[in-house]
Amino acid sequence: MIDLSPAKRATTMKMRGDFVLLRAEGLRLLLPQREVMSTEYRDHAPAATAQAGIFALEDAHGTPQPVAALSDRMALMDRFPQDRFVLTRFAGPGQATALAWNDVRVLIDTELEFHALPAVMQDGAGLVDAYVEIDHELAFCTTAQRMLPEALARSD
Amino acid sequence: MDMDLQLTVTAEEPPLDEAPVGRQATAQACLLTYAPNASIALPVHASVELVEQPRVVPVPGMPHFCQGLVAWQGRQLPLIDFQAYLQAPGNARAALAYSHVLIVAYQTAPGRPLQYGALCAPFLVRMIEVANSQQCPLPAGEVCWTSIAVSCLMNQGQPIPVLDPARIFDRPVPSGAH
Repeated sequence: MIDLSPAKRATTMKMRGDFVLLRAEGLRLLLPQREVMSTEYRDHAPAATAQAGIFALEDAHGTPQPVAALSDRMALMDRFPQDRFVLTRFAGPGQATALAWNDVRVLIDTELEFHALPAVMQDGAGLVDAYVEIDHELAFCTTAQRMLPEALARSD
Repeated sequence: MDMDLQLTVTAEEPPLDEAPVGRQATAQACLLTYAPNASIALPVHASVELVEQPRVVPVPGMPHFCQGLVAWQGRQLPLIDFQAYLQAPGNARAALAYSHVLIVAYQTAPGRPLQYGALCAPFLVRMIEVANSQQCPLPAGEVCWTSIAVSCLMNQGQPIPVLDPARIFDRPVPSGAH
């Protein structure tokens, strides 16, 4: 999302833009708003599939669509939490699978202060590279391109 | 968040070689027991504060030895479980319960601003007095102490590596540590 790499040693920077804040229990993620392709509410419970952590939810035409829920540690949950009513699909790899959230908040033209993760938490290919503080809570910054392949491959 | 048990941080310790004749020079060190029968020491000026039951926010994708971020004095500090740090990701034992975390300070180079990190303190943190005569070789074994410790001291028959926090907190995670 932003370049706060240890090599550049820029530990904090302010940036204005359009973002989306996603919450799944204690996990709060911040992504560029342009990466969210769609947002919808589910009105019935998804069904389990043969693939662990992937559930099926019928769309308006009765076609099952894959849906998943992430844990605090951004891994697929084996049981679908009943309070995740908001579904998002993202641009990029894994876009067929919708992710389920407790709530989704859109932040339009908002200035946020980004803090690089401490060096010991970075490995150059991490899921998140920075955090922001919104309403006295931390939200971790990522992109759909980094989040989806990694999250869909991890299970609790 | 409670912040108590402020550790005594003494002013510049006199150099050990300036002790009065006939009296062995001593200095203080902070002893952190990170697992049963396993301790490390920190220079006294590196041990800043013990924080009781801090709120820890897990970070997605963090390395296996990190517990998350701890808020301290307007900063978010990485919290490390040192026992897990010494172990490979797949072999890490279950994390010990801890009620306190030790805030440590370090510099990445002379003259640079102080940086801070936090270590889980599952057991009592003590200040001990050490003398030059207690210096001993770093323990041999699987752990590469030379990459993270600056010295070693013998305390009650046990070698205690003296940690340089900068060598842990200011280095990106080795690949494969997630």
